[in-house]
Amino acid sequence: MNRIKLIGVLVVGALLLAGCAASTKKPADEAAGDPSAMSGAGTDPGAADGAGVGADGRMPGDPGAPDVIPLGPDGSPLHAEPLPGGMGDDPFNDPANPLSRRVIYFAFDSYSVPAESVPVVEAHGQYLAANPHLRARLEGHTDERGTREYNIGLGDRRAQAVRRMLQLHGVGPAQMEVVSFGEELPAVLGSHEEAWRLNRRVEIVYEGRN
Amino acid sequence: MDRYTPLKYLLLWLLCLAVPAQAALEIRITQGVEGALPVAIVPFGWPAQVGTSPLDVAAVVSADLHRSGLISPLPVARMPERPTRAAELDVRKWRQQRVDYVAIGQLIPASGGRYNVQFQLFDTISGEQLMGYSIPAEARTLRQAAHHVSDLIFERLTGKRGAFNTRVAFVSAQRSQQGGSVRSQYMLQVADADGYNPRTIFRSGQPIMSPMWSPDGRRLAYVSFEGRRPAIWVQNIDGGERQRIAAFPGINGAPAWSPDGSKIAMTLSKDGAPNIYVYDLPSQRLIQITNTNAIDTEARWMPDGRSLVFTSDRAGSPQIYQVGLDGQDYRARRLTFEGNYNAAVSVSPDGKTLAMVHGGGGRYRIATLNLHNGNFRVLTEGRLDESPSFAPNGSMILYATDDRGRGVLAAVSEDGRVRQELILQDAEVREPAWSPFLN
Repeated sequence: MNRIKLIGVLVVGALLLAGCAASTKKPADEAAGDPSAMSGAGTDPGAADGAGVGADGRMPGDPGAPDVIPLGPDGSPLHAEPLPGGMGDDPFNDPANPLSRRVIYFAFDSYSVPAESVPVVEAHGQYLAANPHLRARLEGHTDERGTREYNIGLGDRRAQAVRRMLQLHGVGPAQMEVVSFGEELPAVLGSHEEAWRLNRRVEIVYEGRN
Repeated sequence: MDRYTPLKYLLLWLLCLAVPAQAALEIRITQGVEGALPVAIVPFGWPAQVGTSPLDVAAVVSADLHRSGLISPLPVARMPERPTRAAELDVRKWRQQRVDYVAIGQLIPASGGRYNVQFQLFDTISGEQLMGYSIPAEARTLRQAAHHVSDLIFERLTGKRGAFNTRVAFVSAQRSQQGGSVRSQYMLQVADADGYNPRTIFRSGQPIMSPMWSPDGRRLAYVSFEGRRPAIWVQNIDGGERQRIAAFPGINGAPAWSPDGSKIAMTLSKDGAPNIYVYDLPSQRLIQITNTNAIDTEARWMPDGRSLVFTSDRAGSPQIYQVGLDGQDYRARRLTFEGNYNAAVSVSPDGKTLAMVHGGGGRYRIATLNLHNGNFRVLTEGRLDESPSFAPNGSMILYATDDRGRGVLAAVSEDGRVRQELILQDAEVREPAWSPFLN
């Protein structure tokens, strides 16, 4: 196992949890997060008119150099620490458990799940299938290269690839939602290979947990 | 030859460009031009007893004309005289300075805080007046009146309609540190075509993407991720009412207004893969146009409204395709074969040229494809150039580029000869969209 990659996975995962936990939700944001909106479609003027809301500051700091480790709000490195308040035997916080990995990385301009990430997706598939009350958002992302709307397409294809794999393990369609952010929400800022590698990803975001 | 070297041009340009303090955008000419029409826009007269002039009309006009790449205005410092009336003009002096056309004028205060912008254009060879107008204005429309002067001179000298009195929409992003975490603010902004008078028409903590003008120039369609899900919205520029027109599961992206304003093409992935759909606004009917397992997106209308051009990676890498809308089978035809990355097309107003992002050698640059003779030209030299958008007269292409890690807007003349950057202070700007003609 590539150690740097593992740390990267944990760092990004922990960052997401920390970043989301720290954010303050506004009422309109909660309303927009209503699961019923998932099946709702079409013309619906007036709903979700959240000008200026929904800011959750999920952008980690600027790394500046390829090997810089993102820091938490208190200035300490964000790698592999159990989340404060988490239970000791929580599979999501146990680095030995594949469920602690909730970010899947992709090759450049590719939307197939790489072989080394298949066990991670499988673990989430089994977990979600065994817990049908749980719901997960599959958030697809790309690196900054290429056009913005094409990258929205690419992020969508990546999240759909994870979705299909989860479905094969018995996860119900209503348990999953696919959202692509394209290149709009990078995990790491910067224009270099390491930033690009960490930004080509699908994040598995459990509803109510993150 | 020496007269028109790019560096010299840049210096001359800086001299003649008077940037007022309220300017939000700095315009930096990064590449000059040879063979542009030599003209002079003499500083306009203003009655000294009334105080200082509210606007340097000639500076606005000079800046406009210079940005076109087709006209090169003489810097004020090199003008042999500064006439403000026809009787004071000595065309021989201008001929000696190798200036072919001279514009002179006056800004005249009228009652009720109004003004008249008067100007005349002379041919220095024949000594004859080519045009003369008086344009009424208020304090708040004075810059527009100056852009109108630019339009009139540009059309008289080039035969092309001027696009100076138009607007630009773009997205700007600001990051700020708040209690240890980084927050992002996204703003959808509209400014005059020269970057002045920017104002925010929508603001969000989640990404905003893909602004697109309605053909009447009064509304914008765009993508907003408020609530952490994408939706396509339509918003009035003035007034600000907004309406959500698409919020399906999956992608709601890349809106594009049809030339008659009755339809919006968009990318949806509600039925599986990202495909192109056309939404008919009056009937609220949605028609699926493409149906592949690939990524089909970034649709734009051809000017006749009878076909769409779009990006698809159905052949393995993103390329530009065209699909007719007249029949029922919607068969797509591939248009680009140069390299292995062509995307985000913009169609010239005459439908003869496509501008696009062309990837190769680790760089993404703006290129054009002439649909009549198949000529393919790379116009820019950036690392991450994107979002090309034609001016409504087809003379310039606005795009987003990277200036030492920061997103800025840039423009390149349609022939690639003139390039410039528009630098917005303190923010990262991207996804420019040039408005249609507004009058």
